[in-house]
Amino acid sequence: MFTNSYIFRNVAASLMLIYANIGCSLSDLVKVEDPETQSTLDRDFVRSPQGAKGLFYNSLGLLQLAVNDRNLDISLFTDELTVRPFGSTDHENSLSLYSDPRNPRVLIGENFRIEGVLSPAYLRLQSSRISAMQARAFLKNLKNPSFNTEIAASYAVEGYTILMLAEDMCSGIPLSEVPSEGEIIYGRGLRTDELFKVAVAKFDSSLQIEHDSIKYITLAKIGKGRALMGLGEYSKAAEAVASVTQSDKYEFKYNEIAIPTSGGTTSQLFRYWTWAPLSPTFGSTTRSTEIINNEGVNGLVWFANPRQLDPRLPVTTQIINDTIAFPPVVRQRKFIGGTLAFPLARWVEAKMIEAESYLNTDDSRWIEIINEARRSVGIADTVEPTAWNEKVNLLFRERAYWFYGEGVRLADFRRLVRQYGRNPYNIYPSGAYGRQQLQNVYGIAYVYIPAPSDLVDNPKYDGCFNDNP
Amino acid sequence: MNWVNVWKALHTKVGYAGIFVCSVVYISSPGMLISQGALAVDDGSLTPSQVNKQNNLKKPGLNIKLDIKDSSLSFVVRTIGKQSGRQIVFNDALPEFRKKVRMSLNESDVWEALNKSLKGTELQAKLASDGTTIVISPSPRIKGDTVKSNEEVSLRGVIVDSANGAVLAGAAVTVSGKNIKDVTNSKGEFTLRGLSAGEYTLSIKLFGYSPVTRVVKIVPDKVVSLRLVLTAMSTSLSEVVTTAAGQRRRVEVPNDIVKINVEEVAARSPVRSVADILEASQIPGVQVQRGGGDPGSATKVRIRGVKSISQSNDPVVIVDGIWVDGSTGSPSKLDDIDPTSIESIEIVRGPSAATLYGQDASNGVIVITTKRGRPGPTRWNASYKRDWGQVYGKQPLSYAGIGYHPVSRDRISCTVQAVIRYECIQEAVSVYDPNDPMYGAEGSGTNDKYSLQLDGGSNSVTYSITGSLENEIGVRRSSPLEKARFRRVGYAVYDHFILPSQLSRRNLTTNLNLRTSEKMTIDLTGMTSQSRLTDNSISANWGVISNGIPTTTQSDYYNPDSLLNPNAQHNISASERPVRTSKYTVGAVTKYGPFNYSVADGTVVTAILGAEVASTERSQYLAETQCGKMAACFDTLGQRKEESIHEEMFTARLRASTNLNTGHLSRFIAIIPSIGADLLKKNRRTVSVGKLKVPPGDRSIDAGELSLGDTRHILFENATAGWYINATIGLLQRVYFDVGIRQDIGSAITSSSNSRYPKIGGSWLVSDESFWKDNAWISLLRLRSAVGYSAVQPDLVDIYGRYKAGRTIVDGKLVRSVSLDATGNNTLRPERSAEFEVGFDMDMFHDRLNIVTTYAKSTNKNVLISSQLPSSFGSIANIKENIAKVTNRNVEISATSRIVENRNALVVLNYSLTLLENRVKELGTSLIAANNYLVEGYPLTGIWSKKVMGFRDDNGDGMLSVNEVVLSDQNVYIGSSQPRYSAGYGGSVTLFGKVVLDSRFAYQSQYVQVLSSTNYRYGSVDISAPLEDQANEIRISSGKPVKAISDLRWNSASIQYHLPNKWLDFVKARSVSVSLQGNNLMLWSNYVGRDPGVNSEILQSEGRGDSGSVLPSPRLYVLDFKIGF
Repeated sequence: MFTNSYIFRNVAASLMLIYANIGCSLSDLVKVEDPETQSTLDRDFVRSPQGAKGLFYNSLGLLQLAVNDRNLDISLFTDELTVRPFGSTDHENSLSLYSDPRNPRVLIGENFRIEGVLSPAYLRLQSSRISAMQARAFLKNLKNPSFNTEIAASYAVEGYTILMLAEDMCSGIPLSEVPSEGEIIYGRGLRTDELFKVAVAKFDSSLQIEHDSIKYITLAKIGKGRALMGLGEYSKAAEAVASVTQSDKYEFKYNEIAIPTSGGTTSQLFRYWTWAPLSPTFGSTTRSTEIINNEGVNGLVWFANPRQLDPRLPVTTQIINDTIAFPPVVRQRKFIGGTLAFPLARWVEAKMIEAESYLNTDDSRWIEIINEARRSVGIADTVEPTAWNEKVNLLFRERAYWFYGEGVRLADFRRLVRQYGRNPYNIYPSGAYGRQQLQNVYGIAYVYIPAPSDLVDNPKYDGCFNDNP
Repeated sequence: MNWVNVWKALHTKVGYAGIFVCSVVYISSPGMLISQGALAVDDGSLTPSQVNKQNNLKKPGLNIKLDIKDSSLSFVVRTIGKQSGRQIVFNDALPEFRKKVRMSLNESDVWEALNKSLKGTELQAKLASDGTTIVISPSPRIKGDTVKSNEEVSLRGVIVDSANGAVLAGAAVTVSGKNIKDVTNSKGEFTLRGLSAGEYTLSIKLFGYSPVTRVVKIVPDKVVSLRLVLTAMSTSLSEVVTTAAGQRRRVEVPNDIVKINVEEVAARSPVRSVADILEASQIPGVQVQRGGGDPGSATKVRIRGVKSISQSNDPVVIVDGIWVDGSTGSPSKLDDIDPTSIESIEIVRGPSAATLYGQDASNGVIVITTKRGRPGPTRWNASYKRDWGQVYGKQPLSYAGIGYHPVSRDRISCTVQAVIRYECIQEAVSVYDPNDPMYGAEGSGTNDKYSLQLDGGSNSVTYSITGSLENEIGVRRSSPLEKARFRRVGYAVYDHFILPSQLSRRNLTTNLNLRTSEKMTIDLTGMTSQSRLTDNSISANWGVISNGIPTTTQSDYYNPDSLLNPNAQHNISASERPVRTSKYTVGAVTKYGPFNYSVADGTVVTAILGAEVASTERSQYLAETQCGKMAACFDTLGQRKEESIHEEMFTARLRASTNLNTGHLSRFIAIIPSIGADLLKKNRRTVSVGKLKVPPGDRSIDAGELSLGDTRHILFENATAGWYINATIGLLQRVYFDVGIRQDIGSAITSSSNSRYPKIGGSWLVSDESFWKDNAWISLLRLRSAVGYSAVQPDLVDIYGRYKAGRTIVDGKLVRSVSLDATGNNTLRPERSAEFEVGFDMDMFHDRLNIVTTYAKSTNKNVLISSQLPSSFGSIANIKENIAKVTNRNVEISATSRIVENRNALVVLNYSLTLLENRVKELGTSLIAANNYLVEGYPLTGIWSKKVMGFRDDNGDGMLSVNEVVLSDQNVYIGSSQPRYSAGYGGSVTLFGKVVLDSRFAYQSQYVQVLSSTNYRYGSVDISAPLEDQANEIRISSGKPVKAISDLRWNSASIQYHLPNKWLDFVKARSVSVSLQGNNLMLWSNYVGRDPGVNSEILQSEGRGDSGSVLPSPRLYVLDFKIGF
């Protein structure tokens, strides 16, 4: 008995000793290499300059993709563009390619729900924002002044993503964060004006960092001006963009090659703008976009005669020979091909902001700026209207042509209602529209894109606030 | 010492060497509370003097030289054995063998040497019946030995085993009519006090032995000393089973651990794999699912139901002490273990039994023990087995619509969805009969297996070697039409296209047991398996071929009046390329090490080191010249793909246990404490490369352009380390407790407080109690109950998240980018299972009926569910959260009855029944990801679908449109994919010990199966189909149809014949047997598909399989011939 227990105690003690000896490194014993999936990176890589810059490029690329998607969404949602319908389920905002259920569903009208979802624009904006934040955190940790440009640019990218969320979405969108590995922070719902203010703060942060990249400085200045316009602070907006020169710009340069996206799929930028270009037939999975006048009653008359058009919105007309007898189709020619450069921030936007600022102080210099801009592309001057409403109409018509298809039309509609007191029933497209008017109906009550339903999974989310627009 | 570096060094060396080593320890009998005679010998009746008269010992060699100083008798005997070359069998647990001996011999023979060494002991050497082996056992005492009697000590005695004379501890000796009793100590001794002169009746009971009653007369002044002999009886509770802490008798374990004798199962059922063995054994609570009827099809084993929706539900598999990969695969590595090399399989069913096995054991443990050599001359066993397989039952007709696109006017096949969307104007319906010989894709398959096994050795060294070769040809065939179609596009029809599914496998298992000294044993096991699985397009497209799924590439099958575009007939898709062959190679288990070190009486230290290394290589090559007119090759040259999967599993274990069954206290209490620590590390690395535009003549993977979509590098690693302490406590040899706790740390365990797992259980032999009156009805009754915890840890990637590389365009240029792929969740904890188990074991009617019944309830908390991250985090998909609770309730009953048992016949019937109830109890408040359709109060494996509420053909066109069918708004519960009831029934008849007839049936009910193939059989594409069927097809848009199922399968029937001895003498063989077996003979089911027992998605989901286009399990006829020398 003694022998056994004695020996057993010693064996037990030995095992405990082994345990204790390796105790300090027991976690090392079970330490394993980082898991890798397809194309997965070592976690240490993101802490390197290449990894951090890779994250920054990802934020830029996602913003680029989001803008590409968003501009088409906004154009369809407003009066800029419509889809040539085909088939019973084919609605303007129910493109079958937009299949991610976590994208916000479009609500148009009080009782009319489109059984479709928007493009991944919203998700990409949020992803771009998170990627920009993470890139900045890693870049800052490198403590190398040579990365100041990327750090400043990451603020500007983040600011733009928030700006666009404020412009498009309902009030109450949260901005969640992923501060470190395995940690997530749910953001609370921010009102539209709060989102604009956060965007302004991001742009300010960008502008406070010393670097010499004019394009990112321009991006931050125009972004700040645009966010301040959303807040109705016209003079501050004009001040923000005052130093932007005619040569200053930030633009996305697209490429015809297919771009790998995070989901492993490919997406060619502006593909949908030029879908089935002038093809005489349509397949079951192809769509075609076109421009029509007075879309949804309140839409602009974009062209009186396709041959006498505003050079800011080139179009072309084609007769389609298919089984459904449609009138000739008018297509936009502003975005064609896959190699265009898309201007996200440029001098003419600064001019429009300045003009609107002068208009709101009843300063006649506003029309001079409008005409200065028109002359820059060879368009004759226009005459200043006398009535206030006409002046506002002219300003926003100019903006509509300057920024056709650039995703600002919805923000302009919302500002017209919010800041200029216009009746939404006279601003937003309403009623039937398009070739098959029975199938395509705009409502009038909703003037934003509602939040994705999955946000209810965010414990800090309170739903869209009732402060439409 | 830098343990990590040591480990890494080993890891690297072993990994690159591509072999593994492992050690295992054999825990000897001191590990059990009652020391039994460990050696079962044929007790010869000859003494040395007698045997000297035997012819075969007339010329003994005078070759023994000894010069022993203070060594144990057992060492001396072994030395004599070694020097003489004779097999000497003895039980070294007997105390005499531990006595120190001094002796010197020169040129003595074996008997002289033994006589001298055994002098002064109560041992004697005898020749066993085989004529060569020498058995040393206690010599019978002379009755009537007396000691002086007095009032204090009236009667003494010792109790021994009738088989080998080993003393028996723990036997209860009672005096009838008196409250006088005792329990034998470790020397088998008992003492009865307080007896005066007179005649008494003694009752002696010991579990596992037949009770004995003895009348004793005590005379004044005469002391009585008794030697009583007990004879072991066959009871399953005396069987030794394996636990994490070592081997224990079943009666000491509070759980129902099932032990399968593999040879017995293989003799009656055509088993090709471990999964086959488990299925044929019809163990309650164990379910085997199959991915299909092809060679190498994946199999999945589930024990006591499914506990998790996102983590593995695979049981842990342990081969000779080391962990091996038991995860589902195709082919499954579990099935690479050669059944011929397996001695036994034990099923540890739930957390209450599996606690000490550590992390990931909550799904149960499958303990596999390979065959060991037995001392003696080499024995040879050879066998040849040939299977013939064929799928039975006709396939339903298939329908496909043919029409044209309303705009493009292209001729296309009309799917239901296309018709509903007005994207196809249907003109005709084709009917395709898959049973037509022209289209038929099924034939006869064969399996040939050659096995050879040899074993033998001495007391010091034993060995066992098992090798097998297996070649299997599946039942798939390419139809005449398919062959014609490929010839038409310019592709040669190769042999592997005609016989598209083939598997060849080579196995070699070796076991070497060394006793290097008195205290040390080393057990080395090596196991290698190499498989080559060939499959190709015909397998991948079997669903198309068998069901006539309407795709343009298959237009030949359903193109009435040549309505479809003729060009489409030549359009063979890339997936149909008949060149895809998979070479699949697995190296399995080799082990090395000692390290069974007996420190002292009953104390054993065990070290185990082992590894499993498996590599899988798959390659695919499509030469330019093979492209023919295939669309996939029009713009490329050749194509090449290679995939390499390398997997390693390392096990390091250290364990110590002792038997405190000594001293006076042991009469009432005996304890085996154990402590142990182990480390398990898994590693899986996948590299795949795809190349396009491979130049003519260059088959290397370096040639051509990289195909980005086919290039992957995947790494998965997982490690756990833990220690445990355990005690098995026996009271009065009829009440046992098993108490233990384990603590783990893992690569993905963030908090140690969540990784402590206690267990406690008790076992009570009620029928050994004094109040139990022996009766013919119930001869044995044991009650048992256990509670225990275990867990499955989360995957590391779910905790830390991950970044991935990508590319994006910045300033018009493609640049490399990095994106957050998953955020991870650093608050994850292991899924923690608690299980309560209670049951009883009962032998009735003189051991003619054995019943084992268990009720088990497990609760799996912190179940990881993939929940949806709000979109304010962007496009990052889901995160895992510990939000659910799942319960499983099992009732398991098994019974064996021997209804006839005499010299000429033995009839045994087996029954098993399982009731399984699975429920999701809690789901938390998170938004469950869309792919997990879970509802509280319903099974984790529940299948939900929208219900057809009504339909009406409003426009009278004979075809329902989506607007003419009303579906329920919500999905409704259809049923669980796991059967609620499973039952097995079988029986065997043995006649004259030579002929064995056996038959088995299996029944399952109350489960559902997804069946996609009806998509193509009924519905709106066929306007002649009943409206009800069409309405069901409309429902397809909301989910696949599901069918509630009950089925009864005639699993097997066999007849086995053993040649009589006179014939054996004639062929000079030890044994010869021939058996004919049938498997999967009949199926009675209400299932509309072909085989509800297989489904195609068992790898992806928990039983939510689709059996629509899966090859059913074939019916097998087997001829099995065995011969032993």
